[in-house]
Amino acid sequence: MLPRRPDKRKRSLRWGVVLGATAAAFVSTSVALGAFTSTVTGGGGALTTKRIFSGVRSTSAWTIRDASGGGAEAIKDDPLSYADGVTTTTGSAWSSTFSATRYLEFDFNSALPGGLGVSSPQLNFRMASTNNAATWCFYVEVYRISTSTLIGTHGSSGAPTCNSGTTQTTTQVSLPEVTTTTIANDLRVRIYVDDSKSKPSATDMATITGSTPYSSFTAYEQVYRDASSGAPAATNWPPASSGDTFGYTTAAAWLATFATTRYVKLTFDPGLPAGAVITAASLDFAYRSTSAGADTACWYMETYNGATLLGAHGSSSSTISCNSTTSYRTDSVSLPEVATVANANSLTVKAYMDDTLVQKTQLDLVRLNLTYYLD
Amino acid sequence: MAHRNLLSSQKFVAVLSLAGAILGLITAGLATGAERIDNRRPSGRVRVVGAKLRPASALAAGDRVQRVLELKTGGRRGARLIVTARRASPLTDPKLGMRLKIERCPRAWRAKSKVFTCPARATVSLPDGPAVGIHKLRKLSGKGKNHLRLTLAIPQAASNALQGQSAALVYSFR
Repeated sequence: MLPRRPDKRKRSLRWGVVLGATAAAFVSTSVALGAFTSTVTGGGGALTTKRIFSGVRSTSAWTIRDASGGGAEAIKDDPLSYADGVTTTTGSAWSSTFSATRYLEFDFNSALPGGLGVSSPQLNFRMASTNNAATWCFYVEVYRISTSTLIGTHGSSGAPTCNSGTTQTTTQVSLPEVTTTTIANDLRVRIYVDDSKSKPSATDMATITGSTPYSSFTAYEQVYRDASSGAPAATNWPPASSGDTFGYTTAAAWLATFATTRYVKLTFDPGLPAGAVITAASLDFAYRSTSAGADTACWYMETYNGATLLGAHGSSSSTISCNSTTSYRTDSVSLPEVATVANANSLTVKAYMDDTLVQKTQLDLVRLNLTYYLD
Repeated sequence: MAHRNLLSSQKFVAVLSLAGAILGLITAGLATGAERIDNRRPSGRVRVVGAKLRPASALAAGDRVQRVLELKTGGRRGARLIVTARRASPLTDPKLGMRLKIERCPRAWRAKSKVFTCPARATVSLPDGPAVGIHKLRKLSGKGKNHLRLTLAIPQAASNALQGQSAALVYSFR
């Protein structure tokens, strides 16, 4: 019996080797087969999509510093986009009771990538009466611009939000109906107002803020309708859209030649999320002289991130373009230097202009176009 | 001594086999994104005998993903493919989501850059259509391996609802 022991051990070891190798092959093959198995099941082919698909998102500038006169920069921001004490007074006095035809209305810009969830959306509304003894009240309706569909009501004529006096007061109104950026890109807010003293009101700010899963955002008004009289009168933020009869007129006349101290500076807030990959950037710029005569206005520009020069486009001796007509001329300037989120989110464009007859100019459109995606 | 050496060498081979098995598991796991494996074969006729699968990430509208596998059909010139999703996702929506096309090459697909090319003439076994569902695979070879290329595509006109989504598909060949 004893002589057989080594054989037995050898045999069992051989079997062990065979079984081990078989197991190895089986395990390896099984795993290597991955998602596809012969007849029944398999691990899924895991597929994920980009968090934000590539697309062009456009925005204007609501922050303007105007040094067209060559002196100190004049602050020419949109008066309705910042709590800066620069207010817009309604054209008429409000009634002491609410009316279906008396309201303020704001259409907001649409610079967000569509299809994202929105959290904490809110209207930031800052206003006061022009009479210190007045109590003024308001309630809010929210519409989709594209369909004019009412999607939310906040307060009512019977249960409005009220404040008093001439001290500017900011009220934040939560807008849970703004569930996606697609809706946020298509927002119209109507605010019904009354005033116990039947006085006009002064609006300091109306913005929408919120967050996507990837960044926070601010939507700025680009159309303001004052229906305090019962008949709406629209005022568009001039650089936000073209062909709308609204143009930003520079604070002062330009010289007939360029000067480094004479410019208009526009700062953008595109709200790109961290990690976004920018594949293209450009600026649309539409301008003309305010003169109906035979003068010529020319321009060139520089881009900045804060005080840091990013790029120059044209120069005083080689302009981007000139316009000697009374119609707006639109240029599209490629901005390859705007290739990072940091540069895009802090972008300032400095436009230098001149005018042969020393006139002011009008800007009909200043629009930043960014093509980007987020993996 | 010789017996001892043999014993040692056999032990060594056994350990090596086990190590190989573990290594194979890890390597293949990495290659396939550590996907779950189940190699049951109830019908026993249609068998996947090889596949090169990896997860695909950061897909966008218009993107395509190609993967290859080898299938034996046990003499049949057709097979049924059932594609299911482990959980609901806009990506697997039959109208708006991913699409699947399968082509067969008489020879093994060659990896070239990020695509697989057929060194001979490829035939379409499954025309482009919604990925999830029951599909009939045609024009298969009953003999030997079917070299199949699967092309998953996100439609060019995919809506933003497909942003930031993930899906895990289960493929069952019968």
